[in-house]
Amino acid sequence: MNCKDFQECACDIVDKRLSEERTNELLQHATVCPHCRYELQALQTAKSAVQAKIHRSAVPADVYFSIVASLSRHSGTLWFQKLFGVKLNPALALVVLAVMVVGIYSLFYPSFVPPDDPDIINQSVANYQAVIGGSIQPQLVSSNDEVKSFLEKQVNFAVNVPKMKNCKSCAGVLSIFNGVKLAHVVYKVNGNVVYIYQANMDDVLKGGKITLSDKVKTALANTNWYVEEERNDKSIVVWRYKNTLCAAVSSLPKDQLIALLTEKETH
Amino acid sequence: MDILYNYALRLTGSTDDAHDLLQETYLKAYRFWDKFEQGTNLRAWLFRIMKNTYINIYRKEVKEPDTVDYDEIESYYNIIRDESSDDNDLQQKLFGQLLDDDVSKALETLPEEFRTVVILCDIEGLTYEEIAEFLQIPVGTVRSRLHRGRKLLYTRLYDYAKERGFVGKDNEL
Repeated sequence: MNCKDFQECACDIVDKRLSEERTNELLQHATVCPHCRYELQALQTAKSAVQAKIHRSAVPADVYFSIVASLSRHSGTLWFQKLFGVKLNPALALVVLAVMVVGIYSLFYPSFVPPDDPDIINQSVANYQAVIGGSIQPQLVSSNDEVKSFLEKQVNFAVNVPKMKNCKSCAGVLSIFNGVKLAHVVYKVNGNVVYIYQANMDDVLKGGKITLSDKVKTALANTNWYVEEERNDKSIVVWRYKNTLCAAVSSLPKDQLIALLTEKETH
Repeated sequence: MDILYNYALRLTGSTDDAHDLLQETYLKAYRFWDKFEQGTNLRAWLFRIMKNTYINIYRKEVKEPDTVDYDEIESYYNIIRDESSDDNDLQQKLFGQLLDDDVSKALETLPEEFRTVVILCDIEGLTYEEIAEFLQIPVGTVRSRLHRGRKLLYTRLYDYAKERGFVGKDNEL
């Protein structure tokens, strides 16, 4: 063992790439060679400083959506699908549709028990769990147009029922929380549930009965979008549609959820 | 997309430029999609597009610290080493008080080839093998660039620490 051997492997020691035996052999050299010992400390110090002082950032929602929007003008191409890892399968056949409708029905059971927490994101996550757990019953399972029409007759805001290419039907549910009328839309896409909570933006901004955190409000004011990921393995996307606040929750990765929500223009 | 965005941030040192570089990267990927070899690493391909885009566009406009006399750096490193005592608490004494901006600034001053491997290894947590695939260079080259990059970074950080009086006559290491 000499200094040259040591220095060639110094980064491997820092990055823990060597066997314990080899590491010990090299460290043994460092105990008797002050220069190599110092070098090892210097390399470790540089790595530690970078790891401790430089923080990774998530892509800002507005940047993400700007890129998705510019690329989605070419959506439907194989490239877009592969780049974002989203399969945009052809429309489902009637038989598959029927199976899906039954599948969506099977998600629900009677009674809708809203959570006590007025925070919209917390409510959305709780409702999503209730959908999965079977404690929310759909009031209508039909085409996007019919679900939209049904919900809009009951609430005082435009209901957003995005069309998703591989999903020909969806479920609509109405509820009232603290006197505020809410609409809920649920899809089942390739075995994954996508739940969208919707409320009148005026009610949201008034606060009190239903609320949003300042962080989310700021993001919406700046970009119209807010994305939160990995809350118990669920992705959350909040956005503004006309005068409606929409909050989508799904177990799909955020990229796939966003791609689904922006796949086509909403009604 | 986050890995590309963070790399863009470190390359350009500006959020606006990082946004533009990210967007340009994806648009180029679209234009040259037919050049992508199926079955190869898509992330590495996007990364190379970003790196080349940066070199072709942004580096022309910015004074890039891309030339460095490594022998000179090595001599300076030796001086630092000789003036420092043998101290097991080097990290804590030297860099504990440095600011995040100091480290960012030091990283930005590294030549691009060193900066890239340090970013990919120490910030993104990629293995040497993954970095080699990203950059299309041998693993041995990754190792040697990382060694030099970290050593260079250390000398820059030492200078910042010295300027702030964390190290020096009264605070010899």
